[in-house]
Amino acid sequence: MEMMKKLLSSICFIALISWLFHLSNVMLFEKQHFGTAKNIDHEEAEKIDVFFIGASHIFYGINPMEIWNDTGISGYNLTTHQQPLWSSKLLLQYALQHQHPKLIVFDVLMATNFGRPLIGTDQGTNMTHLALDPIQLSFQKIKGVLETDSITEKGEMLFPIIMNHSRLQQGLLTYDDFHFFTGDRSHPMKGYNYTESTLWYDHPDIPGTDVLYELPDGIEAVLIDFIEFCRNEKLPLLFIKTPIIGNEELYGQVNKIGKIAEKYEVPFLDFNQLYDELGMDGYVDFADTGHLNVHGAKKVSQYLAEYLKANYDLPDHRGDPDYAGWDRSARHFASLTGLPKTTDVMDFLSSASDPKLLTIILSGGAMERPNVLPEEFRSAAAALGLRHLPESTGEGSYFAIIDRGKVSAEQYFADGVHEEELMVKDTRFILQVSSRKPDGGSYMTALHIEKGGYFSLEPGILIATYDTDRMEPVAAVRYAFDESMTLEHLQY
Amino acid sequence: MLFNSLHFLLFFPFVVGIYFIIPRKIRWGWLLAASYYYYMSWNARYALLLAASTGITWLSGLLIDHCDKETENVKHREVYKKWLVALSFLFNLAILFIFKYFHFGLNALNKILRVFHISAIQSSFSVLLPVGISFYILQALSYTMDVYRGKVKVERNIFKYALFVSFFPQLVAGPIERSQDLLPQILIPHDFDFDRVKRGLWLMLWGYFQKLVIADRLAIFVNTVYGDPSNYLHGGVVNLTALVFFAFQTYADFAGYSNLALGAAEVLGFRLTTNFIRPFFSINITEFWTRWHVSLSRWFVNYLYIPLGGNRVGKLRYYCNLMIVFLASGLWHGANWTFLVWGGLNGMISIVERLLTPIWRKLRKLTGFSDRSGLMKCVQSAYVIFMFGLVQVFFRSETLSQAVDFLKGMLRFDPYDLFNGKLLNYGMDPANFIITELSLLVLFCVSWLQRDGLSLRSKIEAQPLILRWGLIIAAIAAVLFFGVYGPGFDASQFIYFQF
Repeated sequence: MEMMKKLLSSICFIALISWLFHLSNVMLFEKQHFGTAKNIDHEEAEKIDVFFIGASHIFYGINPMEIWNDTGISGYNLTTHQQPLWSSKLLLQYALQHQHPKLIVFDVLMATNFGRPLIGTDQGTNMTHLALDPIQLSFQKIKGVLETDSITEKGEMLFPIIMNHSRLQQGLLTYDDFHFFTGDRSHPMKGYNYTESTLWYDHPDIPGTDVLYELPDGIEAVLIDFIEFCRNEKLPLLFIKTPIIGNEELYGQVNKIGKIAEKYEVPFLDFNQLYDELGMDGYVDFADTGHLNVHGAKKVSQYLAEYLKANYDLPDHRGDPDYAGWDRSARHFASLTGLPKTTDVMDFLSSASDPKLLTIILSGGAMERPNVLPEEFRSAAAALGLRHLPESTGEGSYFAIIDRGKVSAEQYFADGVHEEELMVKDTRFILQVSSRKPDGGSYMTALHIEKGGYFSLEPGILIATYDTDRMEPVAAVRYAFDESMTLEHLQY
Repeated sequence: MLFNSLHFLLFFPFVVGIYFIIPRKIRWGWLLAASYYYYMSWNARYALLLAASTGITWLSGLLIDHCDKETENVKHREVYKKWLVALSFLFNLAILFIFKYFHFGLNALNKILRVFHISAIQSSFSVLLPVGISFYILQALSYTMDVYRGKVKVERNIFKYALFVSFFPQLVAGPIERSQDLLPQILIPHDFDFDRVKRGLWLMLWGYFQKLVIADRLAIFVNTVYGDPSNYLHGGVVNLTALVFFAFQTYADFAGYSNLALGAAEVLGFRLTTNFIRPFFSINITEFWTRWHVSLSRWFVNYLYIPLGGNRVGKLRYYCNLMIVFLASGLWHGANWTFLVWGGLNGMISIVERLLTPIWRKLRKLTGFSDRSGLMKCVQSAYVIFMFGLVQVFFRSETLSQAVDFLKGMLRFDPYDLFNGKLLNYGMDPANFIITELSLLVLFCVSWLQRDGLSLRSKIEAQPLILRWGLIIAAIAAVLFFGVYGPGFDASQFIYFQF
């Protein structure tokens, strides 16, 4: 009996320790907002038809939302920053536990010179961590890591705490580290990383496919291993290379990969050879030499969507309630691209229900010039759950915060200057509202986002939308109370 | 396979699991195989040395026993036995000399030859010091001596004896066990005992805390300062901090290793010698050496100091004996003049303290100061830590001149350096300093709680379950979160592994 008690207590203790150890591993790994290794668990099972795999060129260059909008194909960017080839295989292997994709689209960047610095180096180990740390310890992970020769630091790859524990001492833990166990961890845009950044490049000198350069030592074997893996899993594979501003050697290596693809009967879509056909413009489409911005990604993704539709039997899921997640992501993407340009206040109010956006409404400073809010505005606000919005801005000051689809704060003040402070993840927001101009002072209606911008306005309503995933403001507008009732975009 | 490596964390549970599953009769065989695997994980070829030392001492034991039984002439018997002991010592010390002291000896010889204008002897012999050689050779020799003295029965099974020499928890850095203590434990099978295993694991956890949280963090600062002699000129505060830190690093490192060894052995059912008895709570350096690395001190006392006559000789001879033991201890630690000076300084301090003892007693009587007052204990501890740290400068330095430069640098003492952030330039940020201070506080508390000589583990065991579990989880969390390990840090060897 005594022995049984001790045994039971040991089992409980070991279970508790193992659980805490697991939590520590999860808490401590680095959670970059781009890269979906940490998000894939939160996709509904059996919904993804196409995985786009590769490195950053995928998450900037392929936009599953564009593909969804055009074809209804449910695609997902399964990739992390500088993802080594071997990580791609292990990550895909992990994702296959819950997904049965009909096609794997693989960007071959990391099989070129870009992959060279990752072989047998600390950098390679670090990049492997980004992809593998979010994967829970399992027999499959242990087997995969042990069998992958390119992974030299096997211990720390299985127990990421070995690598990451110093993040705690160095004070590098973020909001996401402590809240990783709760909340919605699905990627807002199915792995796509939105950027408007633009750098200018001249038309690259892209040689024909007959120019061939050797791949870095050891890379070809890993690439073939990936092909073999997909073949064994009976996963159709398509190689692509998104447009890149490179040199002859890089294009030559891409051509070499084309030859390997030909040998293994893997179709290869080199967008560099389609540079002009796509209408790529070096002054518009690139965020830098390798990463496409939202405009470049649109061109490539739309072409790819047509290619997939024409060459593969991939179903159109648009309108299917089981695929509402893609609709939500498409709406989110539309908000990010649309809000900075729209002049319709209703767009802002409708985007407030987006589960990844924070919307802040400030009203004040208009006692001298009261304006009655349009009925349309008021009813849209009521639909969001806002209850205290005054009928006229002349009645006092007001603020509301709609945090990821839910009203988290709403207050009306008859008079005076009021300040509110809130934290969203690691960012501090300071809201100031006043209903009249203080003696000798100016109106105090303002929004200060720490590291994100400062907005203030004369009498009227300020609406700011903030992306809680990228932790960046999307747009801030002043809803002017003049005859035009138009929106004025504020700069930050 | 360091105790703080993932390899060991896989190896140990595997060995323990199999050990308690297999039949009792062959458990020792499993431990022998595991011990040799453990040793060969460093360099398989060095297992030959271990086997050679084992073979020689085992044979010496058999032959001594044979003399005892077969040689009727008492005088001849003693002569033969002495010869056998001498041969065993000669062969083993020859192995030690070749692998540890050859280059040191050759360099010393060449210096002498240079005085006489004789050209230096060149050698192409190059070999890495086999890990733990100084430990297992002393342990093996203790068997020869103990059989000779009749303190232990001869072991006829060479494999069981081989386990005595190679028992993996204490193989590479002690404690150096006497055959009369460890050999009988090898001969009896050990069953699984839940409480014993638990206590062993607790001790190992404490060892990991000492090594990973305290010693390896202090090593960041110490290695940065000692690693660049130009740092010695940066000010006395830096050097003094490095001096104190190295004193604690050595303690936490070696005591941490010893606790891991004791804990691992306890899990398997063995009791090893407690190597550290709260040494920094000693009243002086003389007492310190009876509480620091107890198993080595005991070896030197039993097999060198007593044969030299110990303290049952004239005063001068007594002090000479002391000095010889300390010099031998210094040389045992390393083949370098720095270690010899280190041993000499320790010997000198011990002798001076003995000489001053009567004066100190009189002074205490006159002033009415009690040795037991809290203030006095603090002063004594500070004295012991400082003096130990001071001597350790020679232990840590690569050369004598480096050690002297370090000590000279200490004289440029500017207290302002304590407050101007200068200490943050040596690899440790404020977070590391805070963790260091807190972990040293934990070290102090644990030592203080053991002041009554009772096991802290027994005291913890008497606490409610929630407190026990909380304490263990906190200790594991401290090691995992605040331990110095993983990429970005050198996998620090235990300091005493190099001996």
